[in-house]
Amino acid sequence: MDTHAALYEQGKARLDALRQFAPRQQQSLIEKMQQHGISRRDFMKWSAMVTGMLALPLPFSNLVAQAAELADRVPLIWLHMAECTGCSESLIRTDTPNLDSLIFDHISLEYHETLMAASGWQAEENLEHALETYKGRYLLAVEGAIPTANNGSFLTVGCKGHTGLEIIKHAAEGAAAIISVGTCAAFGGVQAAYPNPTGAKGVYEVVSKPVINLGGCPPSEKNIVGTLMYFIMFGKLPALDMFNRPKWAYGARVHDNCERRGRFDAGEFVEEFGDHGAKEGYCLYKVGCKGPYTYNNCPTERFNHHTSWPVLAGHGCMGCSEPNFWDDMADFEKPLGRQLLHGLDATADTIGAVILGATVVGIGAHAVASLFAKPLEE
Amino acid sequence: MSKRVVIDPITRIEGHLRIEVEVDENNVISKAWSSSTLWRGIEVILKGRTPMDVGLIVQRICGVCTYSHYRCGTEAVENALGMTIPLNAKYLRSLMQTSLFMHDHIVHFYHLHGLDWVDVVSALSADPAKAAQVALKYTDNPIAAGEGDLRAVQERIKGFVDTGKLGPFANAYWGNGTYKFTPEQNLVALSHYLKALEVQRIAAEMMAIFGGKSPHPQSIVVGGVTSVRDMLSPARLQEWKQKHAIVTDFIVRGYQADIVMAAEAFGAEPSVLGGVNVKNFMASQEFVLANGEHLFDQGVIMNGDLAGVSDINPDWIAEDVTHAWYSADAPQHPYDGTTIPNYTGFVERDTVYGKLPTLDGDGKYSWVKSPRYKGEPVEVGPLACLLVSYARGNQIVVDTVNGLLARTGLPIEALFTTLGRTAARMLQTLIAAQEGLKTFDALITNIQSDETTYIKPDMDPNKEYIGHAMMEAPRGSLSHWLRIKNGVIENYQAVVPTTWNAGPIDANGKMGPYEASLIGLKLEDPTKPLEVIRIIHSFDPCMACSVHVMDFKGQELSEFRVSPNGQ
Amino acid sequence: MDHSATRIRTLVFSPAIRIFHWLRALSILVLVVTGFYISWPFLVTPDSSDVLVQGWIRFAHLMGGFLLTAITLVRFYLYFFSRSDIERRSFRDVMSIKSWITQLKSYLWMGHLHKAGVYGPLQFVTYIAISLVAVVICITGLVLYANVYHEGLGGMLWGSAAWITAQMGGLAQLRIWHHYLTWAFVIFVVIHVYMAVWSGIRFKHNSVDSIVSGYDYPKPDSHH
Repeated sequence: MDTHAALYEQGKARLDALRQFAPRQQQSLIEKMQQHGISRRDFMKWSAMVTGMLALPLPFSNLVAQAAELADRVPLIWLHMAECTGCSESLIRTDTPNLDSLIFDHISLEYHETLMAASGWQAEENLEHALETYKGRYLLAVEGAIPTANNGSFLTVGCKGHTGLEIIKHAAEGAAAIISVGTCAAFGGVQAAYPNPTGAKGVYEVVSKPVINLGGCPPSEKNIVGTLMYFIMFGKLPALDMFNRPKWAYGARVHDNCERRGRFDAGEFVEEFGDHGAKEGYCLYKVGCKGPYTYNNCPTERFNHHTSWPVLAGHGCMGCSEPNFWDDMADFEKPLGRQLLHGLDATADTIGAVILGATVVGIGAHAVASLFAKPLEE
Repeated sequence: MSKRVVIDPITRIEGHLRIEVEVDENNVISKAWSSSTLWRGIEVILKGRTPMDVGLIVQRICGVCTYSHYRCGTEAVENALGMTIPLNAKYLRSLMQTSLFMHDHIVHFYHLHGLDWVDVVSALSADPAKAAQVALKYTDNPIAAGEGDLRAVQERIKGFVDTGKLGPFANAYWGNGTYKFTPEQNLVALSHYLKALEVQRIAAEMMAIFGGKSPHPQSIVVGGVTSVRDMLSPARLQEWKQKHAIVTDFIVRGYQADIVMAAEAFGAEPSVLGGVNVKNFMASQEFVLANGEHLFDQGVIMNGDLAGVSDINPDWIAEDVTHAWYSADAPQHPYDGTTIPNYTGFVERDTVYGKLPTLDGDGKYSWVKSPRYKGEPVEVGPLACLLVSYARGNQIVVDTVNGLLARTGLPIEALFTTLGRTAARMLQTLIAAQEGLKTFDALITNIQSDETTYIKPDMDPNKEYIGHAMMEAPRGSLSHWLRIKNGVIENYQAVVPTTWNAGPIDANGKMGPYEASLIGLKLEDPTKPLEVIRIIHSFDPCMACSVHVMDFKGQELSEFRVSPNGQ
Repeated sequence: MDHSATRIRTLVFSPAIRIFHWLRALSILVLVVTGFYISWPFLVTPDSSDVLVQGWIRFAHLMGGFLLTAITLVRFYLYFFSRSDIERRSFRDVMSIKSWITQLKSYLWMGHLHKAGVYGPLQFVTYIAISLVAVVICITGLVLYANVYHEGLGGMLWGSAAWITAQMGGLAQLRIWHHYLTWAFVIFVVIHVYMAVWSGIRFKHNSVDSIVSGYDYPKPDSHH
């Protein structure tokens, strides 16, 4: 099969799958268009035009038309675990598309504690209904880590008092795809930092299914919604990196695309916040930027409608999209080599220098003793 | 015969909150319990880390008031190290605080609280032309409430509802008798719900201009602020001012008008005319103006006595854990508190939904502690903030509050209600937004002679430090307390707004503001307790904030035992 | 005194071994200095941004790194396949507890080990260890390289680099281990130089010169 034929088959299969969803609107798109004076012919012309724009051969226009008729039926269940709601806050700031468009036109937001109108018993009914009705077809988004210590009793949700751990395991079973939104759901996050008193874990550690990890504390609204839209547009999961993060967002290091990279290569560094270098926009490496060890698209997409990102605001990257970053990347105002080793209150270089000093003292003692030692007799 | 009602999860809040009430045969609430069902242990995690990172870590307590803990933690360290930060840094922090309040309160009123007041389904039967006229009753220049706007909104929602798949609006309390707006009023409010989605995004961008991003901005450090380039850029400054103008415009023409509308529609609805049963209030000072003045005052009001407002005495704060899932012998002051988890689980019993695990009201039942001031529960939040400033004769606050009362024809007592609490939040937003420009102007004046944004902290690893910071977060008075030893955090404590409000009963049987607010409330249908949810939402719960960062003092991990089977 | 044939001129280090030793020494010196600079850029910036201070220092570090990687590979080859078995013979001492005791005693000024090859057992084990450290530091170095240069060699290595990064728990962990291992070299070099000098004096042979000239001058009876 050539590529186009394969793609056509893939598209057809996807649409067949979508067609099995219960219709969300009694009124079909065609009926609706007729009301607005758009004929079937106009619609097919539009489909052909879109097909041309996508540089696909004409048979695809058929698929494009079908896709438009079928669109916007992906049920989404969003669960909150041990979290701070920062990821939901990030979600509501989306502009790709806007939140209202996302909810009205693209997904069917079945359960989301921060946004849903129903509470308590009724909310739980919504969850149970969605898990049953859309079994095998819903997207599951999780925000927050899963406390596992003491059988997960550090978190219960719902009238029935289920632990977060039980809820996640149950919800994961029927999910078409699981997305861990944010570093907590992905890798455990702040509550999993040393000494992790609640045994908090990332979702992928407690379910036996592949999980897409959206690192970030929180991930930008674009990385959350972009990943949802990828699934909605292409009907499959995006390519993933070494930590199961979508490559389209986490494919490059922050350092690679940093606007201050030229300053780094030139050896121009901010020595302390607010100094001459800080005003000039020098590299923040020496005040702790962890951009060189962090994969994310912050420098190109930025946050909040491209308004800013930490480096633009003069603060180094803290590596928030990486596993275990609260421990690995701290101290956040110092480069990696100068971090205090936990429990030792010393940097690696201090310890290295101390060992070196001890070695030199040992050597000195040995040398001095050698002066007094009996010469070797053979 | 009394019946138990369980509400879990309380949605449209930050975090995990469970409310249980007991209603009598007339469906009047006689007992109430408030419980947080999540513990994250951040206080344990802070120990042994550098004070320079404290702000970033405590920021992760909450992603909603995402900036409050960041700033409070950082300022507690600065206080411990005896630092005074540059004036520019103070102004920038205050402007970020302004951005936060504008964002947070708009999102709370429309997207979290709004659906308690607005019946979405009812809006579908409104006449858009009539609704446009209705909107003009509450302001001369309504926003997003022209006939065309309203018709577009109605069509959009109609199309959505027609699908039969209501998504986030499914299975709610539509049609409940305590929804008092007319269809036209509902349509206006619904239009503002959608408009506010747009506006809150702009408010978040205001935060990002000086903060780098939102939520979880990243530009504050011990010693000052890092966004010096944004501060020195005329384009960035004006970008903030422009976005500020857009959001303020919405607050004045939308948010304010909707509150006036709600005051009219709900003015005779008994379920929102109670709800303030703890009549003690506490607030911290907030928003730096020029000359070191503050926009809002600090103080404590006991027993609703506005004439007797006094200064906060931090020594009178103690936390009780009699009914919280921790072990301790007696109430503890923040500096001497402990946090030893002691989870006892639920008790099975009959409820209106059948047999369910329920809170053990006689024993321990929440991860939230119960802070007390002089042994008394205290309410914090925008209402407390306005009352304290009002009692102190703060001219801006007095004028604004009196203005609203005059406009709605309500007496001052109307403030001590659920409706008053919700209105106070709007007034606080309005004042913070409008007066925020004074801070902005003070910054502009100061930059002309001084570009300093940072002073390097000087910490001697051989010395011990103690410090705290108090400020007003969107949900009320917030304070962080810490000790530094050997250059790292020795113990940490945050006394958080929602802890004050949501705590369980104390050793003397005194209820906190949440629980007290529900007593005497009559429910239309105990299986659909909209009235309870509305009152609880009026506090703007933030559970992640309330549960953590209690104190951690010299305890080793081995002391953190939780009995596995809940006994 | 007996003047007849007190010493014998013996070739201990082949030219290849000597060249690689000194190239390795050079690369380690360059790598340690530039490595510490990269970790903490201590030079002040020049007046012009056209001078890529960090860029040039990183370039030197990369060249040193490739040199060390190449030599590490070649030295493993030479150890096993060199025509002279003088290095391989030392393994016999490693396997002999008696040799260990004799050598450790000799460091405390008691007796002298008549070595089977060119290295004593502790010396041999130390060299193996430092060679393994070299392998790890070269691999982590190459992973860091592949993260900066995405085409060519970096591109070829990317698949394995990503896998290794994940195994080590992220790039930060990998980077910090690369840093820690530097100290193994620093400390090794100091001990190594001292021991070479000390053993030459103590055991009256040509220990330091031999890595330059290739020859040692053992007494006839001390060479097996």
